[in-house]
Amino acid sequence: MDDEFVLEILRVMETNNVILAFNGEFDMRVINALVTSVKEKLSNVESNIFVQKKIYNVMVECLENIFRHSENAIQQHIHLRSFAIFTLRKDGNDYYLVTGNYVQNKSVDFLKNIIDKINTLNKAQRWEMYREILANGEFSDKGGAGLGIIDIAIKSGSQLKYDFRKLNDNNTFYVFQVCIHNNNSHLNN
Amino acid sequence: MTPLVIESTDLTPKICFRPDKKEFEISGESRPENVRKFYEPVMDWIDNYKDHLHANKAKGSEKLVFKFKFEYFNSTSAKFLTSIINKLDTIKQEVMPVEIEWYYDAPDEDMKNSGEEFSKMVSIPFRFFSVN
Repeated sequence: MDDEFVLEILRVMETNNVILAFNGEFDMRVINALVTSVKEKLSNVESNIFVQKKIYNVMVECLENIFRHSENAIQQHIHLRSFAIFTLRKDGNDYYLVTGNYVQNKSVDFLKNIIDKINTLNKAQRWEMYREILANGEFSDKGGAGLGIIDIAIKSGSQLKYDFRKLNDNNTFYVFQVCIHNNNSHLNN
Repeated sequence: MTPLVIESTDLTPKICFRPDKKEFEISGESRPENVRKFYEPVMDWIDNYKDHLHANKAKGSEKLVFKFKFEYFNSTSAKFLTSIINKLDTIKQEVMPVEIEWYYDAPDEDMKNSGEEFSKMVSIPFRFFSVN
């Protein structure tokens, strides 16, 4: 029996107020199921509809970002290509969304640079960057050009965090964290 | 000009363009699985409508009012909405006055701000309406 193992997972999730955790293959079907599930759960744990909506908006963009940056990540390990982890937890009044997925090593600098840049910008500057990318960014049909990340930054109103764990000459595991504060006053105009 | 009516789904907005009734409205949620496949017919329709207006020598005294009533759109949709709004701007510059009415849920300042950013990219006047 793996009862101790299951109870340990349950304990970790309860201690950390985990609203949702998913680990596995990501496709549109999974994303839709997760989004629907979170929508229902949020109405029980968060009374502020605006905050509910922010979490929903940021979550959709985070999950879609996994697609954008996982593409072609692990060519030689097909089974890992769309593998990812997503967690949503509440800490006090704040919500933390974390994604983890594989990216190609050559994507790391782009991601680091754009997140570092966004973190130096205030609210108005973030909107300016959003407009600039919309007007002039180069897009594939899946998006890109960093629009998803700036959108997350604007809606969360917080600093973005990341970690990159290099696996081999081709691939890196990319962890991305965003916090949604309930008072939403962390960025000055 | 044939109307363009596409019913909404969980992932795509309702499109209702009925020139005979002077109704032009996009409403709902937008995060299509294939965003280009969804929006390309919408953009093509607007191109054709512009040609139709040109051919019928539409008068500058009339006005087209496009209503955007989004609950949510993802960043990929935003790029296509930019193209749609740019096409409407071309109609305004070449054919007749165009106005955009941008509706948003009362507490959803993000949606209002998104509309304001679109308004800065074009010469079309935007009117904002909060909905309770």
